Amino acid sequence: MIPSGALLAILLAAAAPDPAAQGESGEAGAKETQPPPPPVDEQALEPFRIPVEAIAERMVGSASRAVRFDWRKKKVGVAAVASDLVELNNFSSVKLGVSARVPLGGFMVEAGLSWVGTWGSRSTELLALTPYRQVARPSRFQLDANLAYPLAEGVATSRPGFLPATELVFSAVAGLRYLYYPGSLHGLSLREGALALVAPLLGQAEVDNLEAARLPAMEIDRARYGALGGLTLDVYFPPGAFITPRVMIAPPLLSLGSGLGWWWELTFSAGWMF
Amino acid sequence: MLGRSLGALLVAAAAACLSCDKVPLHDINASFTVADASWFEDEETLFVFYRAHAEQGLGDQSAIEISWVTDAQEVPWTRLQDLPAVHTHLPVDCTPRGRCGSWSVRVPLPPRQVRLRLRYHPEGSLALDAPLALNLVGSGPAHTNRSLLVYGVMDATNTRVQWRARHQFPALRNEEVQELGLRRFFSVAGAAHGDVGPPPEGDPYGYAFAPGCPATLTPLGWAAVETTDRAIFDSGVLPLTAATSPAVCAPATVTDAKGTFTAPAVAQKNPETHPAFPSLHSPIRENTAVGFLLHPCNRTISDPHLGMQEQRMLLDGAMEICLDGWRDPGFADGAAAIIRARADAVRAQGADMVLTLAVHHDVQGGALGQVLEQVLETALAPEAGKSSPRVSGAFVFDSFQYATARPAVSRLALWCPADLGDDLDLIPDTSSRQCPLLPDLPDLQLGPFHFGNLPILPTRKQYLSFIDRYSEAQAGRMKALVFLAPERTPLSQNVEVEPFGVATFFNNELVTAQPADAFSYCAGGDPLAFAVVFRIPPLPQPLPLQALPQVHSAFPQPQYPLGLIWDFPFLTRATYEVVIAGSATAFSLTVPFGVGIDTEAYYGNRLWEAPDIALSHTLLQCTRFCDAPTFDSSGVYNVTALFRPAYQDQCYRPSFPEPGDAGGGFPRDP
Repeated sequence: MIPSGALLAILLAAAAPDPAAQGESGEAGAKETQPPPPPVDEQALEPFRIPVEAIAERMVGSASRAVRFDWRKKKVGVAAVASDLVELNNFSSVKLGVSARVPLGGFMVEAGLSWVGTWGSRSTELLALTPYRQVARPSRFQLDANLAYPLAEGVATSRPGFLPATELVFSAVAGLRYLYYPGSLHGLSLREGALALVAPLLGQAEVDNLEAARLPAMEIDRARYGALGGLTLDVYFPPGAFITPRVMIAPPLLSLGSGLGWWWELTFSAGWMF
Repeated sequence: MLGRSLGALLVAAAAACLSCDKVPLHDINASFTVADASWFEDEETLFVFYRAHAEQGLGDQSAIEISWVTDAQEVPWTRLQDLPAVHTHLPVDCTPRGRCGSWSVRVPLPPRQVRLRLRYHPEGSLALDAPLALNLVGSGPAHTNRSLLVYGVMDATNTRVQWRARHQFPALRNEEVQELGLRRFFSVAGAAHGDVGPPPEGDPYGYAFAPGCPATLTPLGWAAVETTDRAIFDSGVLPLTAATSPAVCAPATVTDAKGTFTAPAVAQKNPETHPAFPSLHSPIRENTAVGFLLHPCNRTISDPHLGMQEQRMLLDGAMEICLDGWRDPGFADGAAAIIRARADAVRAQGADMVLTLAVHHDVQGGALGQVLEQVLETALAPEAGKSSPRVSGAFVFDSFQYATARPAVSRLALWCPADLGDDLDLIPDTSSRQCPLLPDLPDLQLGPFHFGNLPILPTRKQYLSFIDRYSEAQAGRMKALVFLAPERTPLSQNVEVEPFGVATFFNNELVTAQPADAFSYCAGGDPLAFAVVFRIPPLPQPLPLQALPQVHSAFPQPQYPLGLIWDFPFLTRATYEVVIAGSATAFSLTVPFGVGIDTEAYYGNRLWEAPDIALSHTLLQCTRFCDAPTFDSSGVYNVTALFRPAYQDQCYRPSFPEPGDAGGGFPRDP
């Protein structure tokens, strides 16, 4: 491969006039009158002219890389996670857990384990006095697998002033979620339990086992898997601390067998990249 | 591009927003599948049974409530469990989606306006009313007008008594009541054995048949037993002195809202049965083959065919009978005399015999066959009534297909070859009865290759055309011929049974019976049991064994001689090699080839294959307590299925209760 500097030197050498030839033509020019060069067509070039400032602005979005903190060069990050699950029913749920993230190419791959606690409300207490139920999910464990793709990133000055300059990464996130309800496999054989663990929906035996854990007025949602999508903002503080607010939406079209419809999850993570 | 993306985003958002509603509320769809109340006047008790179900499950707080009105009181809606129970009611697991159970409360006067409902929550006011069915049972006999009766059953040895309680409700079955948690206490004390007589009409269990057990019974001195299960074995074992007693009677005490109620309960002994004739034994002997080669002595018809006939019948060194004068009037008698003389000579060796005859001739139309039938009838007829050693029958290998015309010959002789036609490619589906030996494999044509095989006993035309196409070496060969026939004793008697055949009573095999005995015939025993017959003096013809229970019930006889009915006197087992012959034809050149396979075929009566016919499961004889109720194979006590009338043509395979058996104190009693 030819180094770019050498290639430039070769090109410059080829474009430079030969001194010998120049001497001969100079002598001839002195003897003959040269015709004037054609005028530049300014109108034809006008559509292609771009100000240097505009070119520089474009390049900022596509070519800039972290200056203060390059998360792509880190191996792994761990974080504590807290979420508020905003379901459109009368039950409340909060998630607490841990997650690990690994940069992979231009993506950020993340896995998490969390506990979701669910409780009722005055509305569910009153609903329990009636023959009606509302779909919700009892307290449970969750396994998450997320993939984040950076859309924009850059360096920002942080406030208050004693904080170092931060690296901001704004990403689109897609995630898969697996739910496990403790006690749901009670009484099942090893084979039945193994099959139930991978089934897309909770079986009737599992629902019956969860009857005691079910909150009053709750109809247990049978979906075992969920798919989410959303946006996240990673704020990195050199040398490795980060915080991550995130908004995830679970579209009903992607949650097989769920009766919850739309629901959101507002998550805040704080951790360290190693 | 940007416009398309924005459009798709808007469409997706609009579609998604169709699901943006709040999570809806669902009805749990609760309903009652059982809502039954029964009031018994003699017990002053109201029983309630319920079974409610909800698709989405019922909460822990949901409860069953009841209210009723009598002439003396009005009971408002009250949780069932808040009322004092007369009897024991166990909690019932109906899965989280159901609520099941039972309750019993004291109600001295007839209740009216009994209502039952499922209240979803004690703090709520919503409830589901049950479609309650109320039955009022007035005062009356204990065996019909009380909610529980007690009866006894015996174990397999008829020496141990199991006392059982049976729930009796107008709209619910015994086991369903048990499933809904009701348990009743009962105790039994003072058992005695003896004859209590038949149970009263309408009271098959004999519960409360009298104010008390008869004083004529013999006390057993057993300790009292009590339980809240549905059954319990009594503490003692019946002594030998009670062997002839048909029943055990004991006062049984049950509880109710008024206190206790005592009435006699009866345990009837099970029918005592045994196999009437465990096995019908008839020794089967291998018969000696006495061979004859019948052929024209003055001319040659076909040496290959004659050789094949000799080989097939294994007639090496057999006596020859010339057919040259077969049209002579005295030919038949002469030939029969030769056969009889030869048979008498072999008889001295002490073995039964079968005549094997190869008939080599070219007489078309069956005229010679008719003469030979006459020869065989003359030779075999005297042998039919003889005891062993005797001539059991004959095996004839003819040159043509032939169907016997004389019934006496058809019954005693196997006449081959079968009437299959001369073209092996057109073998009919059915063959003649005389010798249904078919080719072991069908012919097969694959391009230039042709595969076929010859019946082991072919006609001359079949044989000659076969060896012309393939070769003589591929025509197969007989390896062994074994003839099996029953041994006859000097007491053996034959009875003609038209049109089936002959029934032989070999050696005074008989079943003895008392007039009070009863029989049960079971068709699922030995498959050869169909051939067993019996006879009784008034009837000349034997009867199938299946009819013996009915015959004994209508015309009891002291004894029933047993015999076997048969349509052919011996069984032939032919062991031979059949060759799958092939030929490849190309350019007008045929190359034969073949693969030999050892084959075994039977013809005759499979009845003579084994010496014993097992009748232990086919014919049972009851000698005592034959009018008692019976257990079936699942252990259910069928109190109205008495052995004598119920099991004449059914298999009696009872399953008796045993102490410590599976199910414990909860016998199957629908």
